[in-house]
Amino acid sequence: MSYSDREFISTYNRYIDMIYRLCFSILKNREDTEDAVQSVFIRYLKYGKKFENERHEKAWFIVTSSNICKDMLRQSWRHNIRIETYDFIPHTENPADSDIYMAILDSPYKYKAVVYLYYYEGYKTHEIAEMLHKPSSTIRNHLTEARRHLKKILDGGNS
Amino acid sequence: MSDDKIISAWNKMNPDSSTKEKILLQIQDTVKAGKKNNLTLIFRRFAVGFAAAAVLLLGSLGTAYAASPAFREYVHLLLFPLYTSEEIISIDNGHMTGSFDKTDVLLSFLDKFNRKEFGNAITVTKENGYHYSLFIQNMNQLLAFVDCSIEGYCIVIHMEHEAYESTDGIWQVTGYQILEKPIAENMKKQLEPYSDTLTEKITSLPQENTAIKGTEDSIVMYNVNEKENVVSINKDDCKVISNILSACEKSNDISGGLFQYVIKINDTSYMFDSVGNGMIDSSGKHWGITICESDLSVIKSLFKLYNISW
Repeated sequence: MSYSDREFISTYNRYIDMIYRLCFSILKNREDTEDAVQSVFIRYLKYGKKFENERHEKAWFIVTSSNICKDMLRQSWRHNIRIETYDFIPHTENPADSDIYMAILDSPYKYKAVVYLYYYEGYKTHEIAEMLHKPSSTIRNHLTEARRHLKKILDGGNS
Repeated sequence: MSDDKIISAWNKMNPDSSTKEKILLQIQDTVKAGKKNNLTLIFRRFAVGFAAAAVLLLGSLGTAYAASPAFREYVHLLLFPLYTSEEIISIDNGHMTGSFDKTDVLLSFLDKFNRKEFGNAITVTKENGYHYSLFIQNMNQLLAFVDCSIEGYCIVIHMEHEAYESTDGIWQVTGYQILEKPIAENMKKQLEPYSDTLTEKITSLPQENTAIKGTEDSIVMYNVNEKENVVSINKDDCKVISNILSACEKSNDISGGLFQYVIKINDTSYMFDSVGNGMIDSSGKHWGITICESDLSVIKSLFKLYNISW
């Protein structure tokens, strides 16, 4: 199955933000994020199968994006990026917002993916479990630990 | 920490419109380059496939060249023609003057005979063509019995097949006799009437009886895979092999597979595959040979007796 330019651009506009967010949260720099997003859409063009519905398509993009980012992270030279080197730190009027943003970026992968899918995309824990091929209980644990982790960072490690 | 704050934090990661446009352009460029690469890849695959096929073909031709004398001869014929242009002219002349074909030779002779070029007093009958019948005297000789102008008599033309350079040979008239018809009829009874098939065999098959009888003491056998193990055969076994090879069926067609087993008698090699199909190679000429099952088992036992693997 191949997509027409119109179909592709429609899909691209529908998912670019989500994919970019997800990739950026994992890779933490703009250049790698752009490479990853490009790879995701190239893989989509090569995928060639019809999706059952939009939900299926969205889940495919999420899983593919996270897999591509994980692959990129496996390259040794990316492992030890320090938070100070992030090249995309937004300026916000409220410093607290910026702190949450940094806290999310600095979370382990397993937490931020779950947090993103649960809070931002609105998936249920069992849906996330299915998508990430993990038990629901693990996802629930990750959510709890992620909240605790974020809180700890935001509280400056005082709690 | 509220959910809104988390969502708001994620929203800060959204790409701006220029980034989106940039990524889209990069994807389109990659796809175009991919299409070009695919074409290159297809071309390369085709080239590799073609090269592989060419190598296989060359390999097969090389194997066939090494394994098959018939193929080798064909290649030589193709690449190195046997005849020079002068020889070809000479052969053409031979055909034009009827020097090669037996019928042409005979009819040319009869024409000359009727023109009394040989100082003869009588002529041969010519009514809607010459009246003659052909008989085989021996392997290389034919007799033509021709009606003549004197009642109660006929003319017997002696024709002989001679080797001529690299050709299949030529027919020549070597003499003629004027005989009474009853004597001629008696002669015919002792001869085999000519037929095209039989004559073809006479002119093209090796004279196996002569070849085998003359060399009973010099028969060797071997397996082509064990060329170091060439074995001479004792006199009694030679007779057995001679009888078998004399009796087996021969033809102008060579069939069969890998001719692995060789019986060599002077310059003539009899080569067989494991099921009895084979080839005779005599002085660079080739004929097909087939050994019947019972004879094959005898030859097989002889090979084993002389410790040659079969």
